[in-house]
Amino acid sequence: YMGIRLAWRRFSTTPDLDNTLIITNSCAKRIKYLQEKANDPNLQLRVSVDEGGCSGFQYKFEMQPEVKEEDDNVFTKNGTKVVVDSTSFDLIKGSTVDYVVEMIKSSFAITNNPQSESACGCGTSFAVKNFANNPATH
Amino acid sequence: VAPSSRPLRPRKAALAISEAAATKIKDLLHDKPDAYGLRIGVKKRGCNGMSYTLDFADKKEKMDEEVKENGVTVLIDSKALMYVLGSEMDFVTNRISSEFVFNNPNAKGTCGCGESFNV
Repeated sequence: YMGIRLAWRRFSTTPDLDNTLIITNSCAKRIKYLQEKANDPNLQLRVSVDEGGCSGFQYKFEMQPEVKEEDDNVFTKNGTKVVVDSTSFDLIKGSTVDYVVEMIKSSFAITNNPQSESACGCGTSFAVKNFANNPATH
Repeated sequence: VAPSSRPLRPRKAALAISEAAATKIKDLLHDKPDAYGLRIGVKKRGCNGMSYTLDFADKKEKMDEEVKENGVTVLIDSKALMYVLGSEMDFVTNRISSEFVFNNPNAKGTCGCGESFNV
């Protein structure tokens, strides 16, 4: 699978899927629900990466009113917005932003992060591949 | 009145269930009327060794510890019992997540996300 993926990356002429974020329907639905609850149709989800957690970095999620900082990347799905600052984006590009519903816990989550080498059991914290070469750490 | 033939000793419930947790459990069971209750288990996962699991239970197993509080029934798997003993089961909701938490007086360490722990 990795081999196919690498070959695809090398020869593909279509836009680079690894340079975006995939937002699931479940994630968009949850943002919509929170917008309705807060009576703010522009409420957006901000995803960022912080130092910390048992694996070195951890994901942070925050619902906030519509703001666009200069270095923000904005992604949309079904009319909802997910924003990520560029430093954080370097560490999560290609990932899926999901709202995972389980009986014991429901929460926003980053899954399938191509930049992540290993992750904590709960998925909140992760370690970065090629740490020294990642532009986000410069 | 004849004295009782067996001495009574106070026996606290193995687990306390907060009102918020009970409300959520009622909610979950509402969609599954056949279920006997919920069962708490543990599995090896997480950076701190253990993580709780939660499932619907069809019936009370022999070794299950049964807790009834605030109108709900929760079964504790025998393997999980020593970890949750004396804890309070609560349900915490915010914009980012909603989850059951076990405020465990016996836990020595918890993970950043609060999902895994060691005892």
